[in-house]
Amino acid sequence: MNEGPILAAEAITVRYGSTAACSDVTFSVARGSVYALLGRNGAGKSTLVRCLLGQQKPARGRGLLFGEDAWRRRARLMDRVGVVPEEPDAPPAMTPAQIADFCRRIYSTWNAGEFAKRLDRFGIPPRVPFGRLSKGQKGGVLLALALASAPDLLVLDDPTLGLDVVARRALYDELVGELADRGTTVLVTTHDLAGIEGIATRVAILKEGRLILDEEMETLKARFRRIRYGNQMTDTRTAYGTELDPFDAVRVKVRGWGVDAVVANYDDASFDRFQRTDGVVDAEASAMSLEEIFLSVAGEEKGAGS
Amino acid sequence: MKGLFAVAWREIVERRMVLLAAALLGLLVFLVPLFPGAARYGASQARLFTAGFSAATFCAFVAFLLGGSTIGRDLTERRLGFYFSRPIAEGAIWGGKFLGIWVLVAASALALVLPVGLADFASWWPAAGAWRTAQIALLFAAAVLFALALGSVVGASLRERSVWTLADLAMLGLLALGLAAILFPLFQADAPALTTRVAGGLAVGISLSLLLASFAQVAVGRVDQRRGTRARFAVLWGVLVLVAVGCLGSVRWLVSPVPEDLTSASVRDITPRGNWIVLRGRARHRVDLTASFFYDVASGHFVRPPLRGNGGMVLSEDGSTGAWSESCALDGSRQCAIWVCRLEGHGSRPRRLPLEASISDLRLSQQGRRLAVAGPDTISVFDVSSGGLLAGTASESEQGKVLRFAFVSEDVLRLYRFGPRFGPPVEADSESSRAGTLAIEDLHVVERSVTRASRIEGLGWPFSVGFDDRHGRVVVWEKEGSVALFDASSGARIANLGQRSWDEVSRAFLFDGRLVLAETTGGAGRLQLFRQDGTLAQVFELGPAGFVQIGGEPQPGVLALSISRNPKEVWAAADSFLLDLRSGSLAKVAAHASPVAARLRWRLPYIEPGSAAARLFARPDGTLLLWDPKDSSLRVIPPLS
Repeated sequence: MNEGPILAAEAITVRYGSTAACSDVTFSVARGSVYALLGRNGAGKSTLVRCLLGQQKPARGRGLLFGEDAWRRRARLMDRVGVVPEEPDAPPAMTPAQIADFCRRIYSTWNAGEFAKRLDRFGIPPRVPFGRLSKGQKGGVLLALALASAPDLLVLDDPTLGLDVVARRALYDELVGELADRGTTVLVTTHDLAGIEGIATRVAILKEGRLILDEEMETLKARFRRIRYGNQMTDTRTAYGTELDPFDAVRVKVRGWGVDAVVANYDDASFDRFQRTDGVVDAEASAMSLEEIFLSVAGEEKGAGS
Repeated sequence: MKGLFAVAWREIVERRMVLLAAALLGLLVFLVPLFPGAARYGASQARLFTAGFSAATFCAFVAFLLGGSTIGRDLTERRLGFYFSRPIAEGAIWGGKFLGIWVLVAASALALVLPVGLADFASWWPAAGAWRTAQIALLFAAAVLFALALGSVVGASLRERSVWTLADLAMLGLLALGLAAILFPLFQADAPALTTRVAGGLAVGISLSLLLASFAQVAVGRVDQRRGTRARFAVLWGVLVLVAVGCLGSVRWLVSPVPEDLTSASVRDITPRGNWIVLRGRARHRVDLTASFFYDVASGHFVRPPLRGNGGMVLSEDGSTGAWSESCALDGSRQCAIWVCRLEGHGSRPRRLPLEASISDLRLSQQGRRLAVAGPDTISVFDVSSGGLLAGTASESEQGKVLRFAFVSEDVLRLYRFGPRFGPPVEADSESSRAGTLAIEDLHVVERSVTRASRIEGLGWPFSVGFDDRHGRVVVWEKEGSVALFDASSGARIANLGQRSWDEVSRAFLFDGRLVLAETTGGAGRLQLFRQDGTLAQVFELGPAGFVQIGGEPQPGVLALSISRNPKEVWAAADSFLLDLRSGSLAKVAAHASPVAARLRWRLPYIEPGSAAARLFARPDGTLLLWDPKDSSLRVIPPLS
């Protein structure tokens, strides 16, 4: 068995006319990991996913699935991949049962019982045409379809888009169950950062088509901190000077009570030295959620609000 | 393959209502005989026609509609992502969709026609039979595929609604022009079977390009609509351009046969001296296209007039000039344009005369400087170099209708009027209806005047005439059998040549003005040679013969004859002989052949001894043979394929 990455992007560039949807994006997804690909709307996530699945040919670079060119070997490789697309795309006239029957014919492994059980768990009627199901139910059908072939790789393109809290919870529960049972490798793009935070093992952030961050979740959360402090060295208490220089400050805001900064290279020793800096008072560092980190990295420009 | 069939089956299941609608329609057809007016066609015929018509229209419409929604809509609505997320090859996705709809439409057609077809089986099967039924079914299957591919591409283009749609429309306009350019020459060449074949080839090419374009959109574009559209456009128009260029080249080749392509040929005109002939015949690989050439039998050089419905082709006496009429009407029905071409050397570029006239016949003067054109009402003479009208006269007058005209010099056109009318008498017993006249007039081109040369009256109707333009005499024989020699200038009877049976006699003037009559009596042939004054000079016994035709003089003093043992088959069963007029010896020169000149004497003012006109023989299969006096050999002209 190939022990290399399950999925990889090799310098993928996609252009729509003069606009670059993806620019030289390179990353890889290790076996057994849950890789969260984050980005704002229009950042190029779905385009990148389509390239990785061999559905779209990049202008440059290539997507690799199980070490093989995804564009060239798509049909064969898809037997090992479960896909939940951004927009439910199953034929609207077909019922979930008919869709499952269709898929049963084309996958080398198909677990009809699992599919039926999942539909039952999601409360989805199997004999109602797909087009008449609710958004959540459609997502549930597609997730059930994606998992019924026991895939080595599960690709979820913004699966929680438009889902209510209950449906979102059900989806994550199913995902967690799958991970626990089979250790399936997962690539997920989502805007639901809180939901994915507890599941993802690695995070990447796309901004305007460029990959600006690709890191293990643990490391990411360890190096990002919010530091709040007052500064008595300057004429006004709320101004800040060179005290943040030891840190890689990705966002700094001056508030009424002092300075509110997000740093990307936090460590306790540096923070101790920072606390002892002349003029720095009431300094405190707090851990950040994935959403906060994302906002700091992809949401605002550095230095805004000073 | 499992992906292909899975997708096909899914398409069928999703659109199964079409099949139900067709089945319902097939049952409704049984009600057609109840409609007012349907009874007069017979219940069975009414049902069969309605079922067939309904199947054709319903299926064409459904195929086009489903084709439009199959790829175009799925792409624009991003439904193809569902398939591309599965382990199904691109070809299976595209092919499965096409196969599914094709099967659905074919099944719908069956559902529509089968009930009536079975109920009225006895009324159509004996006439159609298995082979014809299979042909119709195959044609229908191909037509459905075409409609499907067309719908797919049109649907995708219209749904795109971008600059690519405009580009498609622009290319469509160019395609229409290209198709016209491809088919128009064939249409003008009046070759319907060949045109149909080329059109069929074009249809196959267009279908192929549509299918490839549709496939490319899916296989190359996958879920990327822009890329798919680019691929569709490039493949569709790229292949169509290739098809169009290929067809243009093919048509150019088809309408440009060379004499060597002829599989059979007939001689339509021939110079009385020199080596040029007008050849016309069917060429290989060109189905029903008729090719015509001015052909030099000595050198093999030829000039091919464009095949734009060309009508009469004529040669000047000296072989220096050729002319032909051409159709101005789209369907080639009306000849009105005239082209001329110098034939000396390798031939010059044809030149269209700046005139238009309704044309039924043409004659060139001896040196090709004048052109006489017979229309429905007039006979006009034009100057070949300028195209200007020089003189004209009515083709029908009190003297009769001009049935033959020939230049006796560059400035004089001799007209032979047959009167009072040409055709069988209205009342067989009426004396007046049985009296015919031959009026000979000269149209003086420079003076623009017509002078009557002579008038021969009191001829028993009908009568036949042989012409000696070179010496100004005619030989006339009447239905009753009276044969006489006349002076064309005065109308004076030179000599009575006796009574001959109409059906057993042929006649010809030799180059020196002597007259030859050939007749068969009692299964034996006999040839009589008369001096210029009409006195009998010599009689040659030809042996067993059913009919004798007289050709030219391949050598001075040697006469070519065709002798058929069977009087019912004058040409098909004839062998050619050479008769030495000095010694009387008769030698077979070619089996199953007859002298070409024997068929063209009506047109030719004379035949020069030793000319190509005198040495050519034709076989019933269209082979032309040229006799070489040096070694008495025959060679095929042109080298037929």
